Amino acid sequence: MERPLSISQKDVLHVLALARLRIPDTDLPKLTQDLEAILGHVELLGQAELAGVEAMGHAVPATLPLREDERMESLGPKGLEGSAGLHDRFIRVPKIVE
Amino acid sequence: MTGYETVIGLEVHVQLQTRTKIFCGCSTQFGALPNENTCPVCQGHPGVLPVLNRMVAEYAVRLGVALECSIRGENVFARKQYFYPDLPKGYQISQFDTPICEHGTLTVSVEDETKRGKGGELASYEKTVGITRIHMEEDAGKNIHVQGQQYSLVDYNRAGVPLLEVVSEPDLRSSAEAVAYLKQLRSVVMALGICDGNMQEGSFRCDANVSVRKVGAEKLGTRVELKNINSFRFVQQGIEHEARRQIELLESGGTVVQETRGYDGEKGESKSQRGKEEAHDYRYFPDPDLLPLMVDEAWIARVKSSVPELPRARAERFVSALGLSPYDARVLNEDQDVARYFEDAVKSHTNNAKSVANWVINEVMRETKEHGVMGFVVTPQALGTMVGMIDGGRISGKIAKELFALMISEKRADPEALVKERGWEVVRDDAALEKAVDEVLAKHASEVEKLRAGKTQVMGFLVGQTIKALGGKVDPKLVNQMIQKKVEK
Amino acid sequence: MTDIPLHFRSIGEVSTMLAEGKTSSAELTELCLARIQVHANLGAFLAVDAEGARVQAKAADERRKAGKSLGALDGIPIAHKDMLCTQGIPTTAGSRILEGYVPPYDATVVKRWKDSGTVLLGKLNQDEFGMGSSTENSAYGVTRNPWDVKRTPGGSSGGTSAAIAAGLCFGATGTDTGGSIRQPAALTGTVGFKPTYGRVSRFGCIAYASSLDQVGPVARTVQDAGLLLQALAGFDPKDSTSIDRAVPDYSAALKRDVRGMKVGIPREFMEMPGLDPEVAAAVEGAVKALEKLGASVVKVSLPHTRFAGASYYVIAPAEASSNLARYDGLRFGPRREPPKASLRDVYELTRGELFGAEVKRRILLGTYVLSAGYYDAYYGRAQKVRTLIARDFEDAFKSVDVIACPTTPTAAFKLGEKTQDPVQMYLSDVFTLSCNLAGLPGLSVPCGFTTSKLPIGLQLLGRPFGEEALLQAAHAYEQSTDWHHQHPELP
Repeated sequence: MERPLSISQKDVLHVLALARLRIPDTDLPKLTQDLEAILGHVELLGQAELAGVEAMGHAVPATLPLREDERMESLGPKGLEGSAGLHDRFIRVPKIVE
Repeated sequence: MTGYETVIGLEVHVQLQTRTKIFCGCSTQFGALPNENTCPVCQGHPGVLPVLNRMVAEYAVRLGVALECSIRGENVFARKQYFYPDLPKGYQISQFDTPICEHGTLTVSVEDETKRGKGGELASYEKTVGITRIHMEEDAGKNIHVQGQQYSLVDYNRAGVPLLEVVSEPDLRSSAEAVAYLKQLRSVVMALGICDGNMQEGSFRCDANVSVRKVGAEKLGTRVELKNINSFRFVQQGIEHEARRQIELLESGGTVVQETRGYDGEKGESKSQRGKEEAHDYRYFPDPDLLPLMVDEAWIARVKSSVPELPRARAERFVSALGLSPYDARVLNEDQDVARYFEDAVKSHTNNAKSVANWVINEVMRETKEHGVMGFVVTPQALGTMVGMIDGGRISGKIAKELFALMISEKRADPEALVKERGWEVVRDDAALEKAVDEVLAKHASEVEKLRAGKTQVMGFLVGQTIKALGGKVDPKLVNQMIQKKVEK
Repeated sequence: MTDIPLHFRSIGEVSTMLAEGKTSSAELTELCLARIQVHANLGAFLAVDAEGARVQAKAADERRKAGKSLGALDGIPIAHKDMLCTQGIPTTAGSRILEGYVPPYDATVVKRWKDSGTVLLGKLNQDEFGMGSSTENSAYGVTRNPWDVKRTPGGSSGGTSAAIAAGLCFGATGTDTGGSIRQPAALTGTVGFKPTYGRVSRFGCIAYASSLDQVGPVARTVQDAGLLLQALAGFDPKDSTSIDRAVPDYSAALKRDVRGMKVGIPREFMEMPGLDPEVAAAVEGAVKALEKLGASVVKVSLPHTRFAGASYYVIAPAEASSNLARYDGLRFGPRREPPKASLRDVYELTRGELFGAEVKRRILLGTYVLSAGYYDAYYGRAQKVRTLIARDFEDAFKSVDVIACPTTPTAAFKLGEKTQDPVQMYLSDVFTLSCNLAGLPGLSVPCGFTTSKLPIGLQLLGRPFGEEALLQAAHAYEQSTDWHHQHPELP
């Protein structure tokens, strides 16, 4: 997979949308510059010899512990107390338009 | 419409009937108060971590074995990322590259509308549908729309309920095949005890991928994902509607756009759903909070040895061992509770499985359509006993229907007692019968002559008179036999 | 030694004093609470629970009186980094997006120290969501280095290390994803310990990079760190990545000397550009000291060190971008919802306004490297490089027991010095990143001062679950020096 040599403002806008972040338009150039600098910092990855190397997902060689199918006490709506959006026992959000 | 072929692939979300959620110990019970069955983990609080419910893996292996899949030894969970209020963490824990089961099959019997059998029943053909994959994932919460308000409400009770997603190969070629596949898959998951199959409560949800192409074409057409088809009726209608829509589009020179459409069963139409920009980029990557799940040969072998009899196998047994027609066997096996009911009833009256089957299919299933057969007041034993009484000539078929209705209305599953109370039992007193017949024949000598002369219509009159004389409690067949005997003498 | 004021004493010392009745938990607690107030300008604490602390102190004193002391940590005033969920006490992870959030549950590590009888004073300042090396990325103001208040204490566990260095508490937790316990410990002359990945539970530790994060103790002596780690370590069924392996008696390790121990010096670390000569000299001095104590020094090579930064700055932001998706203004923290706002507006405005600049950068970077088409090029490669880095250590540990090197390239830098260029800040992590990528245990212990009296740290790295060897070597070295008796001059 080819890596692009730089990240454009258009790329940054796309990623901002994916990440649900909104910034003032005036911040876009500096942000793009910063991200480009960071990508430059990680460019070095391209030089590593990786033939036949497995990805390391976990630092520890272990397998997944399993939980028995037993009920535990549920906190319930108490866990949502203090939330700005608490409405009755629900979380209120702006109307979701399908 | 001719000249086109419809191609359908189905994605079914099977909600597992484990006691607790997939990654936390909250109850999965349907119908709880909003947000009652939630905890910091499934509410997605800062700092929480998932811990896998062993039963979910067990049920996944069970389904994989039943559908003849290869079971994966090393399973990785992946995060599927998108923003939506019913998704508390902003990602769904699912499986991407490493589904726990792959490359299976499900053979179904499809009713062919164009052919009917001798008794007017639909003939059927067999279709083997490929199962591409089965994987484990967590369900999202529920977004509730509030009429007339500018806000929606979110309930996380369902967030974290375990699901198995079953994806079929695009092997289906008609809405009938699709429905047959879904019915069979539903029977299987119910027979395995992993899902209650309750479509109204959302335990068994289906999306369809539909495309069309000219008959004989090799390439698949552009497919459209059809959602919100959560009853067999809507699946059938929705698929047919979508196929028609695509064909009309193509015929008029348009192109089919790859999109998601929601089906509106009431209006009988579909509408495009997702937004145009950013077709979802889910940015899948392995979930670092979960180590790989290992499923070894011993586990698989144990599951294999404990898988219960599957619907098809049971249907085949009904045909070979009990002599039912394939159609009846299939109908009885659509709902495992019904199949079990039938078998229990036959145990109570083993001589006439066919008759028991008729009663179950016609009467019992009709009465229990809404609430299911579990807890039906007429127990399998009561039904079996009743059919036994019919076969034994103790009550007539007509009386039996009344008896059945009475058991329901009085909520009493005791046919013996009810028959006794109502005095419905046919009197099997041959001496009294003979006496009555002799009297009737003596009284109606001219009819007897007509009968001897071959005018069989009068038999009905003579039988009727005899029954009247005995106060109704007699099996007409026996009366008929007795009169025949006497007349022939 | 007798002149050392109470607030700079070690846990080991005050624990003995408590047992001997020479002080009380209440006295220690009041002392800490007072100092926290007096030194509020350091900005170490975000939240203080004086009432709760007093109640806990009282209970500890009563236990002791009744002969039911819970052990060495009973009644000792401690604090937690604000990255850890404390039930009933506001927890922000240094971010505005969690302003006012009060967790309904305790992190496992919080519970474990509570069960040991410690007294919780409050929550400590940090770089937002663990992202930073100076605590300048906290949304609640900077923390100052007690050795020179114009300088940073490092980060992201800056509040933690400053509080320990300034004698505001006796033990504290930090979290370490790329060095965030060890680096601030080095810059403040304290002991900071990052355990093996999976040694300590992450349940309740607000996630930054799940495959790298670990919780660990910061204290004034190695013995203290061992005591604190003992109470933290162990399998937690609520954390699927915590390892089910017995926790040894760490105090036993302190009794062993370093004779025969093999200490590896990684060539690539000592040749790192930007390594301050004073730091290099202090570390070399420490290694010589270990040799004098009986250890032998072996030169080792960790050839893939140069890729550590690139690998880390792909993996950490990628995981962070996913872990931080839940901060959307809907359930906890403030919500930005102007009139007629759509759902999209709420998401974008809340996250846009309430996440700091560094966090936004990392979320964007992480989202980018995971997005369609870029996975193999970045994330895929970075995870493979990780394997190579882990293998380097595996090879090295065939011939040595511990690896010694600098913790940081320089001593504490001035506030504002590195905030202009994000990459500049990233370069201060170079010595600590590999350890997280490989999942190894590592600690920093004081090994000297610069001519401007700024602390320098010696870093020791160990095999997986090799915490004992680290404690053994660090303690032996520490006891042969006077560094741990030196404290900042504070009013």
